[in-house]
Amino acid sequence: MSALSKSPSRFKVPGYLIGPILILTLAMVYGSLGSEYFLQPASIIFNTGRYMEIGLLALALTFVIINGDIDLSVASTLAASAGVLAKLFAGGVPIFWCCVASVFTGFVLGLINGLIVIKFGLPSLVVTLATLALYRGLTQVLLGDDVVANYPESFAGFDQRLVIGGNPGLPAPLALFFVAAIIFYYILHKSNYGIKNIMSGSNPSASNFSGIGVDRVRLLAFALSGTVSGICAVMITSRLSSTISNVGLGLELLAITVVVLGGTDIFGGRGAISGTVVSLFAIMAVREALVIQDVNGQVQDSAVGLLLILTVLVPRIRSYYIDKRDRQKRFNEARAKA
Amino acid sequence: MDWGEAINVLECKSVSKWYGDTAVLNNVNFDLAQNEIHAIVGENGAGKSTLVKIISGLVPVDVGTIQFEGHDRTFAHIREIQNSGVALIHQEPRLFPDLSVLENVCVDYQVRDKNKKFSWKKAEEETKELLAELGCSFSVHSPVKALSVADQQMVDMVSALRKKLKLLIVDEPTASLTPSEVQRLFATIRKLNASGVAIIFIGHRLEEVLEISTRITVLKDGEVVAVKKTSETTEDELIRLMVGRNIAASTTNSKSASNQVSLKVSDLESPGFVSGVSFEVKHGEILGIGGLVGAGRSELLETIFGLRKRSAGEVISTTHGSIKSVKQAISARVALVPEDRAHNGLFLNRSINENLVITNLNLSSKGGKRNFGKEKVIGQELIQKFRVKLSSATQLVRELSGGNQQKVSLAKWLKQEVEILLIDEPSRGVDVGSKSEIHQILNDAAAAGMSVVMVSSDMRELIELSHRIIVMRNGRIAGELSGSEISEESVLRLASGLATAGRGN
Amino acid sequence: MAVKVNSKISYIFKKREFGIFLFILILLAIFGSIEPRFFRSENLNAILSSVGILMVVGAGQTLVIVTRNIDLSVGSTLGMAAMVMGMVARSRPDFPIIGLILIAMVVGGICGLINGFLVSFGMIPSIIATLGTLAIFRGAVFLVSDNVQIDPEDVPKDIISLATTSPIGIPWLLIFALLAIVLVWFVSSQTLLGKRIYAIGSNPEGAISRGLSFNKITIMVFVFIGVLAGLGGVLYTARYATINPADVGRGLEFDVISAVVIGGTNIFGGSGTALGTALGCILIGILSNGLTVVGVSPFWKACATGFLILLAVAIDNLVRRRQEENFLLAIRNQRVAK
Repeated sequence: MSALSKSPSRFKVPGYLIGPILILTLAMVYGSLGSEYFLQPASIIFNTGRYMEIGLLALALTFVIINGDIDLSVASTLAASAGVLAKLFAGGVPIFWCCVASVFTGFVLGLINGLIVIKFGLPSLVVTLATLALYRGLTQVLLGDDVVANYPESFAGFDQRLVIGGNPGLPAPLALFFVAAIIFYYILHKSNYGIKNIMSGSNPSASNFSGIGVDRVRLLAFALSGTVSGICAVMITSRLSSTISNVGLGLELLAITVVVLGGTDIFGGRGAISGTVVSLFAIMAVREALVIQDVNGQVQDSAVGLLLILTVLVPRIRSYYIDKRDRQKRFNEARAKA
Repeated sequence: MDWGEAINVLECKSVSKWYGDTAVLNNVNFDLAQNEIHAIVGENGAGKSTLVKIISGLVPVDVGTIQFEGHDRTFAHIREIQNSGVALIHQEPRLFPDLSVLENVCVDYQVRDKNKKFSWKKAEEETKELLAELGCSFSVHSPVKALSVADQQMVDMVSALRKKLKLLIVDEPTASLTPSEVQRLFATIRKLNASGVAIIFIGHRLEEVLEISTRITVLKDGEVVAVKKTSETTEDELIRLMVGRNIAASTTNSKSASNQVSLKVSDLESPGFVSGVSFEVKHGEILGIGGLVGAGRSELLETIFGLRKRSAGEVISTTHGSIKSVKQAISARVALVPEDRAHNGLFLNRSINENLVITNLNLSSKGGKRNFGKEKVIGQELIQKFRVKLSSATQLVRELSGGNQQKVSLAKWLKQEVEILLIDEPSRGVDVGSKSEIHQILNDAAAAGMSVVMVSSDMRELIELSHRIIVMRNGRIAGELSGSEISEESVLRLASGLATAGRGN
Repeated sequence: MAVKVNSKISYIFKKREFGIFLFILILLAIFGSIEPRFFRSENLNAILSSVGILMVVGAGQTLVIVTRNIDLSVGSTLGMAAMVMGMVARSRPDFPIIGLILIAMVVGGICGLINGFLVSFGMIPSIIATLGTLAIFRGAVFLVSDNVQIDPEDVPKDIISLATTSPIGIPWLLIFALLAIVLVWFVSSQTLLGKRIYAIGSNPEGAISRGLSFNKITIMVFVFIGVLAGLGGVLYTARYATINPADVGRGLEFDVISAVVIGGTNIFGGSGTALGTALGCILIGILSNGLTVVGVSPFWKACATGFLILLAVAIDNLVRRRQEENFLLAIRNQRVAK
């Protein structure tokens, strides 16, 4: 009767977090075996810059994937936004407005993705595959072979800034990521939009029957994804202090890996921000641990790829055998009754 | 029995099956001779589809035995049964839309004889022959998705025919067919039967059943009521056997609905499903909508709610004006509880609470922010009010029983003020206890002034609950029944296109 | 009435490849009229050679997508096959060419087998499985080669000659490409196996209930594309003569999938032709070559490709929807009319 009012008093680790947490722990152990400096805060957190960019992309991508879509164009949107930023800056526009333009470009490009998917009723996989090319092309047209550099001191080096000073302090990207994670967690798990997003991915048909404006939900997710790409464009430009046309090449795959490793179902309807967050740090730990062992970057990618497959494989095989066992039990029971 | 030398292809003895606590089939005996076309009739929920599923091996028996050609097949696996010559033709054929007819038929060809390699030419000839025998004129190379449902059924049948067929079950095959397509199907069935295939025919349209079958088994509430030779029975008798209960015009009908109209539907048209439908619903009235499968009842509700495209007509709420979209419908305090709750009504992999609150988050949230405390309170109230039985707070909806799922599907709308409730099959797949609870809920709601438009294939439910009944047939309204006119017979007659025997329309 | 409807519809279906063909002609006309050099036989040969690799792998990807799967790891598979073959060739300069080609194809086949198992028995969605193996195989290329590239001197002249010599007027490379296309055409239109492959994509549940061996066919399809990717590795080596662990095959999956989608294969499975894919490859090749010859900056290529994908899919969708609507309407009006 009041079953709903009983809140679970014991803290239970959700199933989807087990994998990422395990990976994170093992990686930290492995890394510290390789180097005594590995677990020291100072050596970790100053490396976080590029991971936080991916983390932000992954956070926004989580929304898109949960509601049943996918956005392959996040890296290209980032590039196009960075291209706009660079072009404006090279043209003499004050850096602040260049950044604003970058974010706005991301928003517009994301919106276009959403509009094409919804108005034309096309699968998001194919549309964002196309815009992956289109937006990258846009970047190439904007920048050509040029390298835009000479960004002002005040702007560059975002990844080295400390929000909280001291030793080791809190680097700006990390702070930004945590703030974003909290905001996204709030949106997904605490707001009306969030639950609509999840339900749209869980059962689009029932969502229509329930009066959830599925189209609007999807459009907002795409726009959000684009906007975050625009923000990341600013971050990456500041970190690299330069912009070329192949900026961010291939990031979309890593972002998707982070999201899926974190337990979000690629087909939608299930996922959590906490999963994406832990997954990001797990991947970061794995890569950094391998760096210590002098492992090549490509091989690092392989390790991550392998972990991705294992994280998805193990639960599926487990639930298959559990289902099989249950079905057999029920069949035997029915047989016994006869 | 004077069946001559006919052998019994199938013998079911004392078959019973329970779903939970409900006996869906109770001590059913069914036998099938080789040369007969044996029809099974009964209302929805009588147990026809369960019996058929058991015979074709999709579902195991709980009690009883099944003998196929003298061999015990009680626990046979579906593959075994298919390989022994039993085929089941659904309403919706299981074909591959992108492949051609020929490809569909041949795709599961198994090389049994090393000398007989597969040859497209030969397969094409054979298939063309079969199609011609069945009276089909389409090319074997047409993509299946370009064929009508009737033609697709024929393809399905040809696929079945390529294997040695001994028993063919056709389940409600005529729902989407035109009269000439029905005749073609019947000719096919007769031809097959003449060549030695035993046929089980499940149908709702009694005139068709009488036309095609040689023997008829009538099921009612999971039991065999009668087995009759077709030549010795009439439609009237069948109806009486199927129905045969004394359901008093409902006691609740004594509560008169008000005279104020709450919803007016005029000349509603949705291409292909609903045509020229007009009716009114009053405050506090339960308007039942009867009709056979395929009559367009669910589509009517969906069109009213704004989910289905309308090509003509109007839906006007007296308090809120014209309704053209789902959003407008919801603002006008109209709710729709759909027939297929698994696909359209519920989010099976989500929690009960989420399912309950999703239709109106504004009740518990403020400024877009969810208030979990309030949601819990709302959820609790609803669970209490509707007596939903659950085992834990965090249970997923798919773990609930059918009856409790249906309550959730209903409760999620009734948590707020609803003026007009459109509900499609209120007690499908629901246990007896929940069914009466749901009926009580509907009655109470109507008594409090809500208008209820209820589609139901359950005759008892339809008659007991409705103040008034409109019957649909082929997308149109066949007739309206009220007061003393309401009876199972009159509903069935209107649904089947017969004149109601002398009673006023 | 049924016959009329059928012939009308089969005519429309035929139109799809014809439409691409028409578009190709138009492009040829445009490019040719702006720059007559475009029509020189060397140029046309160059186009066909550059798309040769695309066609070989595309032929395989067509079948994969038809079964409602996708293979993102083709580039890495190609790289792996090429690298192993290259290393064998380097350490044994006298190794027979046929042997080298076979080695490449076997390596590719093994990669495909892994993918096939992950998708069928592992029940991992192919987009995730091949996202993982994309990284894993790429890392394997590094490990196997110790990050040492294969230089042109190490590649047997006979291999390189595949790209240039012509037994009958067209280079071997192109012959292999056309063979792959013809093979896929043959399998899909003439054999039962081919029909089963399409059946699985057209109606997976129906396929299971008709007794088709889902897992076997899925594995076969992935092995097939693996072998073709291996062959692609040979052709790649022939064309570029250098096998660099980082570059070989990188980004191939995008081009291949684009070509397949432009060629009319439905991303949801069940339909698609080898001819369409071949035309899609040719279209991409003409576009890229044409833009260069005409003098347009190559940076517009990505934009153009992206735009083409959108165009192709949007047209497909509109045509399909209108066909369905008209058709269903006709049938249902029959029913209500009685």
